Amino acid sequence: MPNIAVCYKWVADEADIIVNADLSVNMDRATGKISDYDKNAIEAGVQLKKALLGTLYGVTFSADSGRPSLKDALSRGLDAAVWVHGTLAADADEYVTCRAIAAGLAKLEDVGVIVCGDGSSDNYARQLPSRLGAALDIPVITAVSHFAIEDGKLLVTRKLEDDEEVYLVDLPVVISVLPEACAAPVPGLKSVMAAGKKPVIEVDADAIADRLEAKSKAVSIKGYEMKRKNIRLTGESEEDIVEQLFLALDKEGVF
Amino acid sequence: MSHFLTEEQTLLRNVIREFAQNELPARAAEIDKTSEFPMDLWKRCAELGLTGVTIAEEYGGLGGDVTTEMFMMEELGKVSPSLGLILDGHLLAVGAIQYSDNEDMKKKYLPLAASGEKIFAISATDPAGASNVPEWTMFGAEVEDGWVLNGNKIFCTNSHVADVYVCMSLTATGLSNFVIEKGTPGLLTGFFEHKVGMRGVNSGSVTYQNVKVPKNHMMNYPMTPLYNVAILDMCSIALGAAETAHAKTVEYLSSRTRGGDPMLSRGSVSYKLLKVLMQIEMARDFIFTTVKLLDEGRPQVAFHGMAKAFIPEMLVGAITNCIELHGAVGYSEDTGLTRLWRDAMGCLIADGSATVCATQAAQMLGWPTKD
Repeated sequence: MPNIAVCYKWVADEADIIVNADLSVNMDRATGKISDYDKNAIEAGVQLKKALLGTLYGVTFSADSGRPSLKDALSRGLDAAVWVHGTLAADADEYVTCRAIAAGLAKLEDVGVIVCGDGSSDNYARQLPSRLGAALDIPVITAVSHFAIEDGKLLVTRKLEDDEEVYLVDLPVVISVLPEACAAPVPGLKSVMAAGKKPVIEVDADAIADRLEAKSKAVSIKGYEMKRKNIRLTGESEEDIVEQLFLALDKEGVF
Repeated sequence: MSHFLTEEQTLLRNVIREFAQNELPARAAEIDKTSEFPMDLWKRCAELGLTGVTIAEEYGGLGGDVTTEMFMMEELGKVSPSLGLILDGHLLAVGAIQYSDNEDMKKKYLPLAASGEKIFAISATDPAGASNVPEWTMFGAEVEDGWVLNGNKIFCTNSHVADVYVCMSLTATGLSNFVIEKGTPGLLTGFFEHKVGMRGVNSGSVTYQNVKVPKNHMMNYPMTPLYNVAILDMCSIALGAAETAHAKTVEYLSSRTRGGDPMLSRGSVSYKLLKVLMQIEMARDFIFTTVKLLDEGRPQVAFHGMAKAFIPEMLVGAITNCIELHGAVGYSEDTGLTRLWRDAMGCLIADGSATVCATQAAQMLGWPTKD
């Protein structure tokens, strides 16, 4: 019975982020939440567990302040969680995140499917599945819109811009699922209460820090402002005005 | 929500918020148009555990405290005050059982209430007036093998959809509650109220004509302050509705411009909206301080009445201001504020009008009153 691991990220709730008048970003009042796309990934894990009958793990990497993510994620159907945490998370880039998640996965045995969300809802880099696949030397299937287990293999549909591709892939495999692959249900209140009793394996990220050094660093983060152009179109007739509108839109590069 | 929730309470709040924000908005508007009881949402509330939020775990409930019930009502009130009131009616009836000393009724009915398999209603309001107990016509007479109930009740929440009714009645010895199942001979639902707001909530009359009730279905009237939280439910629903009205108005006035600048940048506008926010924050502190005292076993029952006298009135004022700040757009049904405005009037009255609750608070404080 292969196990399933779902990677999820604890991100700042964008609803709480304030862009100041000087376009600096104030995240002081931002509370945490599970990245929206990762809720779909967790539900995908729940569905896969029904077919594979293994244990469903959540694996996450965060600062110590990410502890509340554990109960939240566990309430959504995970059996157990692996929490890689430490100060390292504060400035982690995708390279560090991948290595930290891989360290967490190393605590698990016989993982058949590693599920990721389509991208994190904070920076949406979408790098984790490919990096994990490379690090673990296993296949990666992204943009999965449908999945099923058939004869111990994973049958997946990739939904791309112009076509759909179907693959049958051996386990173990890393997949990233689109939100449409499975809607994320709201967990019941009793699941929330029971979540605190589920096991959590902790991994000290700082203990593996000597192997991890961020390759990229955010220099600045600024909001942007949509400004009105304040262009008034006038003309002799409605046709004139419509023509001017098309010309103005063309000038802006809309077409 | 309180600014001081525990980690577990925060998670519960988030889950309820997720449900309310994702699944209620479209249905809330439909319910308002059709006035139909939202059975689909009732079933979702049951699946999620909202129907048994404060029922003890030993009876299949969540075992949540009053604070949990309040932030649940607040989150529902943000989107659908009607759904909040439906659950308020259910939980009020359930509380009459849970806080009684009748173990038979607890074992028989609390699991059914917690799972949402049965909808509960409390028929408390007498035609003579809910708080005018001495003039109630509803009477329970003790007979050899039980009780016989006769009388009418009006404005019973969940009146026409309930499976189990808790009837509050005078008896020879005082006030008692009786548990009666739908289909019991002599139990009749009658007039269905068409209300200004809180549509979708069944409010109607229930008639008891020689209804025979088994002896063990009579319960003592609960004396615990925990039984008095329904009026705080209405306060939390009002708090949520006020937050929505305020947030909608901030959003609108941030994008609506005058002379190229957002309307919100005008001092007269921002001051008016800030006053609404101040009142919301006062209401929040009032509710969650009151329920924290209750959860800690240090109840201040006068606060319950004071909160009910203050917060729904605050909501009516807040929404009136928010509609006015929207201008004509706010007066349109499509903005959603007018529905909240109509629901706000329901918050003002349901579970005790502001005036009645203020009078009760004055009595609790030992002030001289004629009531």
